[in-house]
Amino acid sequence: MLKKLLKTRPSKLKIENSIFNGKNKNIDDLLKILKFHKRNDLIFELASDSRLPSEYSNIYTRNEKFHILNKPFTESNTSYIYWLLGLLKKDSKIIKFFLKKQEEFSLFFLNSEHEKCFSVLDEMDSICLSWWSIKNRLATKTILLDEISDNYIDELKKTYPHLNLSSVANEFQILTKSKNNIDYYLALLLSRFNEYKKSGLEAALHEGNIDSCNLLPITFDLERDTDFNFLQCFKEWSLVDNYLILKSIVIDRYSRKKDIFTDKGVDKIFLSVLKEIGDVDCLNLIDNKNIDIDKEIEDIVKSYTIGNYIDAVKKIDFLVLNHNKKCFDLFEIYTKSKIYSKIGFEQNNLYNKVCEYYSKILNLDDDSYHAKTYLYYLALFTRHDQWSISLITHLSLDNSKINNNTNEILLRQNHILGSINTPKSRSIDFIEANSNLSDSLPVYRGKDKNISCSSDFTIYSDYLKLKFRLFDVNEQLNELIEFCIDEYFKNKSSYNFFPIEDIYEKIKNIEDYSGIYKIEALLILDIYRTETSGNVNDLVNKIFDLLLQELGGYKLSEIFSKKIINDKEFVFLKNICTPIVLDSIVDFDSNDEVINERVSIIDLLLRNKNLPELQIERDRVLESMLSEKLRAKIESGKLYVDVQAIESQKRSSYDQLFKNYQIASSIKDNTLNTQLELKERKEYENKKLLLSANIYGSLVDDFALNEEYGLDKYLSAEVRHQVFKSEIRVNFEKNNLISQKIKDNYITNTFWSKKYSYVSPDILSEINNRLNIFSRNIDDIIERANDRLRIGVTLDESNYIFDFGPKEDILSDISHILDNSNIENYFDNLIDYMWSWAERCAKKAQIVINDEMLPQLIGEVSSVHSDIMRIKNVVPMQDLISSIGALNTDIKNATEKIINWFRFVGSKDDISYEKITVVIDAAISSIARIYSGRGKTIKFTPVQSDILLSYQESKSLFISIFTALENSLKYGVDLECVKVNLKNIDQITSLEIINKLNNSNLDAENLIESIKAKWVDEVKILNIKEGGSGIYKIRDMLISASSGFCVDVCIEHEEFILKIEIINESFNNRRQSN
Amino acid sequence: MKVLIIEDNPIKRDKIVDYLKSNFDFDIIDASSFNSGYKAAIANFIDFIILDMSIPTFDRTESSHGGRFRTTGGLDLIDKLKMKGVNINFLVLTGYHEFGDSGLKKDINTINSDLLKFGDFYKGIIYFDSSDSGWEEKLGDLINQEIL
Repeated sequence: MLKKLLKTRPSKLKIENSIFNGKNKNIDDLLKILKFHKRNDLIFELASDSRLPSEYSNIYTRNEKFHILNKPFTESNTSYIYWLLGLLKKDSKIIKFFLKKQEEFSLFFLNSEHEKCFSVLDEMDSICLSWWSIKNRLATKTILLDEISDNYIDELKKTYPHLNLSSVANEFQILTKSKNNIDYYLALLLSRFNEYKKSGLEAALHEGNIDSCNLLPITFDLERDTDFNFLQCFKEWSLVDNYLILKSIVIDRYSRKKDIFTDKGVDKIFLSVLKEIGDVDCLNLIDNKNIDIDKEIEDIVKSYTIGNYIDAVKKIDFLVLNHNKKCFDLFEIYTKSKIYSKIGFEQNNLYNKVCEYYSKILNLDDDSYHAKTYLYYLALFTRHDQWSISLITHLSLDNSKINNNTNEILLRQNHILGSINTPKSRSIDFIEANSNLSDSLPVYRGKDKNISCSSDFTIYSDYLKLKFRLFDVNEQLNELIEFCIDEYFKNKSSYNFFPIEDIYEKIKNIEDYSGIYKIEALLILDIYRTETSGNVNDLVNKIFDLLLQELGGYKLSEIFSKKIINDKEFVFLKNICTPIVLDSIVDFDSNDEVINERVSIIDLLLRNKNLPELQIERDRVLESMLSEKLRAKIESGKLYVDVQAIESQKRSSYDQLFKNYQIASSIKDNTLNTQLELKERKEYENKKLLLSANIYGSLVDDFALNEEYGLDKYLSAEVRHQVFKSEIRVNFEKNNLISQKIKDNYITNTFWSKKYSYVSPDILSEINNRLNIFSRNIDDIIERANDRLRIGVTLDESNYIFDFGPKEDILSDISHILDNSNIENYFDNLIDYMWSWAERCAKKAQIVINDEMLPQLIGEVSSVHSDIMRIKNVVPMQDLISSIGALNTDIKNATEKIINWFRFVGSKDDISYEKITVVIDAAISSIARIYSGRGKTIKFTPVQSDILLSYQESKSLFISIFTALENSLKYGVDLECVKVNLKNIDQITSLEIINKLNNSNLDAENLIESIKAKWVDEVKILNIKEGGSGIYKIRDMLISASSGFCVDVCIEHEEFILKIEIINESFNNRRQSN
Repeated sequence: MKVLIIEDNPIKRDKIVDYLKSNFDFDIIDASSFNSGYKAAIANFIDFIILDMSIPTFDRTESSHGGRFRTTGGLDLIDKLKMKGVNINFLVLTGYHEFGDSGLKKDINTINSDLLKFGDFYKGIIYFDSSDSGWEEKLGDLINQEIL
């Protein structure tokens, strides 16, 4: 047969009757030839022929055949769409039946009639098994019956032995657990689609887009661009599922105003197939764009418009109860009618439940986050159903992330509802086009556009939207921003309705900022950053600079201390005036000044409102000052991770991940031992490992890879990019033993040829050649080592030293940490683990540099030395030989310095110690510099001490000294210096901070007694009351860090003395690591 | 002609200074951070800036590590000068080269595209490699073509 077909001219090819009489191989051969010649018309004809054997179609009626591979199309092929349309034509009755059942199911589902739902699904299964049916069965069990469906998912594996369930089952299981938290499920899917997008493979990219289209409403993945030519990746799915995916792509492309098919030949065929199937939804989009509104819908809309809510509710109830699809786009009207008429939501059907949750969102209910989550959860379960598309359109239109461009996409997807689409869901210009309606509207619906009182509105979000619209129409950007901030302060759920994307764009594109309220603009940007994690730093810095110009100063703590701080200013000082913004003020000469300004701002805020979070921040800011000092002192500053930045910016998303892990862990934990077999236990463990991997992946992204605060920022800029190389190479350069290259060829070493111009040119030439080889070898050795100083993230063993790849033992450690942590301590535990891993890597780097690179360099030096000795023979070239001889010491010194780079400051392990004198110096120098400009001095009497402190102890001592000195300088007698004495007496190191008392009439004994009376555990609350800067706190912090610290106070000779004793024996047997 | 070099790595800075002194008759000023670079650019009548892409916020001293290390500090600095109304010709001399091989997650071409927003004041970006003299040649060419 194949031979005959090969001889036939493409134009003469046709579907012979005989093709169906023989073996399937004949059909396969014909299809191959048709694909080769792109005879798509005949491919369609073949697929649609009723005589096509059942093996070719995806109608799965028996379990064992479900998910069989449809052999003819194993690779991406533009002809597949013709084949699929042919199959749909051939089995159009089945698809027609499916569409009927899909609608029936939706209506039973919305009426919470679970038995009827199962019955519909059974009917459909008897004709063709499908993922649609499986998912909806799961939805019925989970949503209507509130059943835990783990067993059903497990049973699927037995029911469908040929079904590739591993990933889908996992997805289902997570979806079923997402009723109260849909974010994790969404993040999981989006990260999968992103992987596809980032792969750089065209087929993967398109497969990801189609996968996204199948699972997610357009709102969640606005960037996807679906292409029919890659549909074949789902070819083994049932014809029903294939049709649903095809239809969702049609909706996607239509919504974006793209040609449905890029291949013009498909259009007509598709239309004919649609007509045969009788798919009104799709025909609404393709064939009949200006459909008149259904009379019954029009009637309901009219009742609603004139305020006859009871009538509207009654009519919609009738539609729902009588299983009429006209209720699909009436969620908003039904919800609002019930709110206006104060009719409660009934609990007996899902339609009412949906609207009740929708009402919570509209009225900014405390529970609106969960309401929204639940509705998204529903919509994701029922992704392909008409009512679900309508629901997602209404929810998304109220979403702050959606701007005007996106609104149109959302409304266009709703066109699938055809004549039962409400007027508001039809046109983006609905509000403007129907402004004349306002005369017939009741007052509380915004009849009076000048309305300004929220109490006039029954639905609060309507008030917000009207206000936003009025500000927009009147181009009142400042007022709009102020309004948003006020509403946000009152209720954060209001953010859902902010036109935030538009506001952000407007602020960004302002040419002249002189008329803009800067503090308000900064606050709205902060809200935007908080809610979206968007990067607005550049814009914030720009506006912040302009604000300082307006204020006429840069020390905000001083500017604001002279006035009463209002709520907006408080939040501005708290959230915006952080070191990352303050350090761009060029009037500050050092980081110490920046940190001190932040501490002063925090103190100012604490005086206004004593928030515990501010006290925590105060300690952390001071800690950052310590680490800055330590990094400078011990020359270890090359490596760093700004954990505080990770915590402040990402903690909430980690909390969410941790909660997700806890949800997943609880799925089967209590049934494991009794019900599940060993194999299933393994699967469960794997699932937990997967979630651990997800959390670990985020940790690696932030701790290791983040370009703002992660390890690679420092490893890259401060080590790898020429710094490491230059540090070693410069030793060879200064001895004139290495030359540079031009286009990979090393240039002649002219230094020695000039110096020894009297030596034979042959010898000089040979020496030059040898030095060129030497240069290349040295550069290669350095380059190899440098190249290994990278972060590895792959599963395989990496050649990169900082290997953070998700190895099984790491994931198991992470899982163990998560299992044994709670919401309070899990983050610190994970960060500690990352520190310890980074430390291991840093040690490895030290070993590679010291034990691998250094011997190689010394070997090369030794080799060049002996070669040059041989080449020069008896010619005296002492300077050259001396230069080579000097190299060993130089490169050893350089190596030692570099090894020191690979130490971290900030890790909480028990092996890195700092000298106590360094910590004391750091604290004193930090504060002394700040106060020196104010005429106040510190007199420090240092002594030698070998005591080593852990990072935790160092941090506590640093903050304590800083705080004590600050208090002394602030509250002590003017022009009197503060004394700091350090003494070593009898194995005790004693640090005294002494300041002259302001009031000589003070009852010293009483004062000391009252201070000491607070030193009992019961008054821990003082930690908060004293604003985090009292003596109680100093004592508490130090004795919590180590039992080797003692704190005492006394008054002698009109001087107040704070004494910190360090008992040497508590800190013995410690060694400072390299 | 007054040239300002903003570079925190002393070895690299010395190389640039040596090269400029050997080949041009410039009055050279150097700075090693965002803060000192900005102040130097404002205080002196600078004709041309050669700067690194990543720099610390403040100068590093025995008691300070320079505060926040700014991955795109060079860009931030030029932005800040522009806001102040100070527009000076500049070029970037960076150790970043390949895609994904830097904290920036950008390659030299992408950084180049970002810098084009500074219009004619931006004169180009050069990859610095201490073992390869190619950067010297490119720097010399750029100065001759664009500055002198």
